[in-house]
Amino acid sequence: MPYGYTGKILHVDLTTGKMHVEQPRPDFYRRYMGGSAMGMHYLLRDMRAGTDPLGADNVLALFNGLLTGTAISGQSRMTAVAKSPLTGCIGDSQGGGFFPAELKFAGFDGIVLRGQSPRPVYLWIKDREFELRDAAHLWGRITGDVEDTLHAELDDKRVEVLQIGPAGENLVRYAAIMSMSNRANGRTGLGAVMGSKKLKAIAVRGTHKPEVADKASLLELTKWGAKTVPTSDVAGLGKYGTAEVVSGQHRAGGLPTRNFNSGSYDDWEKIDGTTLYDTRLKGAENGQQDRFGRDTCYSCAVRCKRVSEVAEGPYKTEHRYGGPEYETLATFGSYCAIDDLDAIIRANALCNMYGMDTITCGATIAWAMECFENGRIGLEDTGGLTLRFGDAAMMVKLTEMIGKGEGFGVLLAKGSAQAAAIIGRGTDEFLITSKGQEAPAHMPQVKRSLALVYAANPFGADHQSHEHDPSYEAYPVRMAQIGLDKPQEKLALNEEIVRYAMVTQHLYSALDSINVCQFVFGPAWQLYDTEQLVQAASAVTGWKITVPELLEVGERRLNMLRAFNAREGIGRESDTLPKKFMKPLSGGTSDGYMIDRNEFEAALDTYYRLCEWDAVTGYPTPAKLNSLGLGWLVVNGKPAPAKNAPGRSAGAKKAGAKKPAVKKPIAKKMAARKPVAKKRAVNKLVAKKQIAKAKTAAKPKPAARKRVVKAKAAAKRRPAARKTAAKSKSAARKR
Amino acid sequence: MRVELRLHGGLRELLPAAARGRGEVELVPGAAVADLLAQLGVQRKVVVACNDAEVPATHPLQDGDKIAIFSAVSGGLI
Repeated sequence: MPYGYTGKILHVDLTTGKMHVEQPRPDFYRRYMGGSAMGMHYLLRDMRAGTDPLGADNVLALFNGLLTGTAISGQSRMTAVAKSPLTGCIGDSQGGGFFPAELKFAGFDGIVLRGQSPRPVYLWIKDREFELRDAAHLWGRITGDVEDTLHAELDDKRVEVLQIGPAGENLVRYAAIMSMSNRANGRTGLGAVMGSKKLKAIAVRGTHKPEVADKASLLELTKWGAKTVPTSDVAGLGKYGTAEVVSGQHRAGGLPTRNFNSGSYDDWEKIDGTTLYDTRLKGAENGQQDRFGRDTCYSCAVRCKRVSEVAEGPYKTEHRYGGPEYETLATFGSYCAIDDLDAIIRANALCNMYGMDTITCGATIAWAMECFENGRIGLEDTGGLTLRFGDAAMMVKLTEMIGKGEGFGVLLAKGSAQAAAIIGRGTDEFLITSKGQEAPAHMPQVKRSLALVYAANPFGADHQSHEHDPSYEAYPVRMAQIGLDKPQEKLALNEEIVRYAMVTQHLYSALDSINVCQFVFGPAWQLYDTEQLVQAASAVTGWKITVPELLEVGERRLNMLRAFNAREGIGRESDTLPKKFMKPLSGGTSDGYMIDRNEFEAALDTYYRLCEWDAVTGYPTPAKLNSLGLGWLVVNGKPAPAKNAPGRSAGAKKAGAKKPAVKKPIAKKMAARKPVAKKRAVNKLVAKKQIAKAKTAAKPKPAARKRVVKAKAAAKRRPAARKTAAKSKSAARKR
Repeated sequence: MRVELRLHGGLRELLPAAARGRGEVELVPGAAVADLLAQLGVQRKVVVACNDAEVPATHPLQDGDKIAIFSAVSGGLI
């Protein structure tokens, strides 16, 4: 019996409507541990180089992890991977909330989506049963409406809904995959991939909690975490959210301002997390914001999510769309020189309604503002709109235009790098992108290892792919757990800092595979340290996991991401920083700070050497891939798709990977609970097609005749309505 | 001697809620940053700025100094 994981992965072909369940062997789980690494297995196995990110052949894989759905904090996470329409490289993003745990309860460790549906559909999964349903009535609607509709349609408010908004439908290149209408797998545009597949939503409901091998040990760690939060270094993060860091970033000169021209924003206090807490969180008017203004993910004691609202005025916003994170306060705030907190809350809500990444959205608007102010774009480009830093109303207007696909918003919907390539006229001078993805609100000029990681990260500039510089000195005991014991001076970018970046990158890569929250588990300020993560994972699975093994999982995943890019011909030439980062910052603590190009290139050389990647191409070497058990990716001495990936289930090999398992239609079952007009399962169509196909066979063989009978039976079958016990899980759900 | 305080983020809890992280504190002459932190009861990892410049725990304080204290997380670590 598997502990921690369900042992089941759902494969969905949206072109044909066929679905089947794969049951991989235990070693498959131990090799990848879930999340990004597990998803990458399928992308590398099943996709060809040159695949159109918005075409039918792109594979979108969604995976939770080994700890997901257990009681410990920080475990309800899900990673999405697919080829990114924003960057053309591998795309990867993480999200939390309740959906990941609910997917586990419903019986699945992950979902692999292929093909393109001819019409909008949604996937309904309930306790190991699944079907595709028509979603014409959901298409074009914002996230909150869709969630309400599905709750009514499925007659259960505890159904968790993962979905795209209109931005995903419109193929906005940075569309997000949303859940709870306020949680996002935000980065790299994977919502557009889901939109291109015409998959509007995935609704899940499950009642099967994962088995845990050593319940006592896990309980001990869980209790320790809950007890420690108030005195830990994440206490303020819980109370004030990630927005807590606005003040510190400004002090350090690391708060990106006016599209990264400065690291200090004089009006920082107006957009600080404490201001948000004091004035805009739900319940703040009577001091009840700790009760009503903080939200959580499944079974997490930190409760860092914001619930903000604007009661009146032009930016009136209801609280269901959550509240801005630090990144959002920066991109819509200091990036655009906007200190209007209500406007930022509104822009954040619009992104959550339409389903967009707030980082790329805000940063793209800031880029457009700078282009306009410098005369690189004009009224003829913007449709008559005047763009200026500090114009809150215009920022909100542009956000809505992007989400709706209107006017100038259509161009901005491509992201700043693609828009600059279309416009030309030197607009690329103002880009802050690496691999076409906009830099988040942490400045490489101030924390130098970010220069390396922003450039070399396989899916573009990302702040959650390694531990930032100051932690090396601040947390020596925890750093020693992963072999880091030589902290360096501020602003260094020497070999030890490169090693620090790489080792912590491997750890963060493992966090995104075993799939835990990087605010709860990590090598420095997080609630639990690396050894505690290993203890928790061992307790859940019954395996004796070690820190080196965990780091190897992370290194394996990082090499898989790089191998994906390598076969697309993407390597060192794309590991670059924007020109702007090589120019001195202006004002504040970081006045004059800049990245030295020669130092950066030398660091990149060192990084490739330490990673054992080819110094010229930046590709993982065959020797490195082999050492990580990824020899199946090596063809003709370089990374290439393999024909026979390891770890596939014995059943899949025997029957053929594409053979669908017997579907378990639950449309009728649900209809019996609450009739809904025009509730038509796409599966039924598939069954009819199978019948027709079998009938037209000139001389059906016995096996074919058998299929006809089976298909007819499947089409006629009316599953007996079965009352499902609506077991409350309120004890675990702290929403 | 007295120094002016500004406690950021979660450290605000060390002062009365109404103060919202702002206040003054009396210290013995010759006190250093570490003494101030001990007097405030700071147990978390923090970043301290004295008159807008980051200083170590051994930094000696002067009457009228403006002290800003950030929790490590809010001090630019993440």
